[in-house]
Amino acid sequence: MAEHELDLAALSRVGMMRQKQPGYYVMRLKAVAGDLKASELACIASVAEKYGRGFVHLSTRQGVEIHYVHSDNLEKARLELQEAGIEMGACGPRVRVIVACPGDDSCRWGNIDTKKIARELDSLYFKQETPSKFKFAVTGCSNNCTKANENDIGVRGAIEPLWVQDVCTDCGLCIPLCPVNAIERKENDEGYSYTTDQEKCINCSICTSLCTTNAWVAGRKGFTLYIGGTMGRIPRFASVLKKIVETEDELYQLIDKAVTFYKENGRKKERFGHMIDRIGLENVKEALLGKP
Amino acid sequence: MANHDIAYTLDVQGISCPANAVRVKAAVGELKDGELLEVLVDEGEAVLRVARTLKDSGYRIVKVEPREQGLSVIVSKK
Ligand code: SF4
Ligand code: SF4
Ligand code: SF4
Repeated sequence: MAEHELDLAALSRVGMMRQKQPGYYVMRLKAVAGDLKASELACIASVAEKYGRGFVHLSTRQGVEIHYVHSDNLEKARLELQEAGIEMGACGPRVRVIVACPGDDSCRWGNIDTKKIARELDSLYFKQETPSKFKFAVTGCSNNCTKANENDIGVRGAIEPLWVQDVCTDCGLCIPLCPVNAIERKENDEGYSYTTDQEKCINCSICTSLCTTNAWVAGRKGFTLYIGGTMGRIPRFASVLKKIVETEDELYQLIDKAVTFYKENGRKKERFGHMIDRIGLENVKEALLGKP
Repeated sequence: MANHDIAYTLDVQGISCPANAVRVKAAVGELKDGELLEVLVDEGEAVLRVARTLKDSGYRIVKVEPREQGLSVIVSKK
């Protein structure tokens, strides 16, 4: 097929990107949550040997790309990958591959099942058309390895610490341990109490994991939901839409509202976060959460 | 500390992780029942590391207080 007969927009929809070298393309593959089976990797390796130049590029968002595939071979290569169960990724103004850290599957800090949420988001939104590109990230805890706040929608596992008076020995250790000085000791009629300032708390689990008597325990558990993050040309850190979303149902409802709002209000090529700045964060929050 | 009888003081300020925690672990290993060890440690990463080590090896943290620089952590056996 000659170069001019190829529909670039259609190719970008299926994860093929034109290289600067005439006639050559990048094949961008889908790996939800960054996971690939060994058998899938073997197929990718063989396709890269056969149709590419024998290497793959790992992108910054857990993507696997086969470079230097000639346009004549794109379809053959795609079919071989499909045979092994590998889908193509996405380019252009649409929902990109969902990234996630290992979460509570294998990481000792993980608070949530990141992979399950990533797969759910993938089945709900992958490749949907949006005003500009749209990225989701799921990260298991406030160590934030998957950088939830650099994505259009970020989901982060969160545990709210709860103080248990009976077992506290009043040692005072938790106060200097808290990285954001959210813990305070207060004298009161019954003696004393330790409290957290939930505005400040970043749900890092340091207090709950390091108090030697386990006087800090997990209280409310859930997800911190971020909206409107982006890096790129005009970086913008995400805003917190809701600090603790307690159920998966509510999480998906809020995400759906956010995506719908962006589809309806975002201008062409305007990223979600930049739309939020144009409309005003408080207005967007009100539209998504209702009046406070 | 007025009402604590401190048997030893160990200063690990300025010593980086994990060497600070290794020294603390060696020192608490020498503690007899009822004895207290005071550890002087930097704030931030250092106290996190030392607290982790003490918790994992089953010691009791009696009192933690800020000093002019860094922290005083008083430790005993369980
Ligand atoms: S974000 Fe948390 S759960 Fe995920 S890999 Fe990092 S430390 Fe582990
Ligand atoms: S570290 Fe635990 S025991 Fe010590 S003051 Fe804080 S809550 Fe109480
Ligand atoms: S979870 Fe982290 S930020 Fe929140 S109070 Fe505990 S130590 Fe501080």
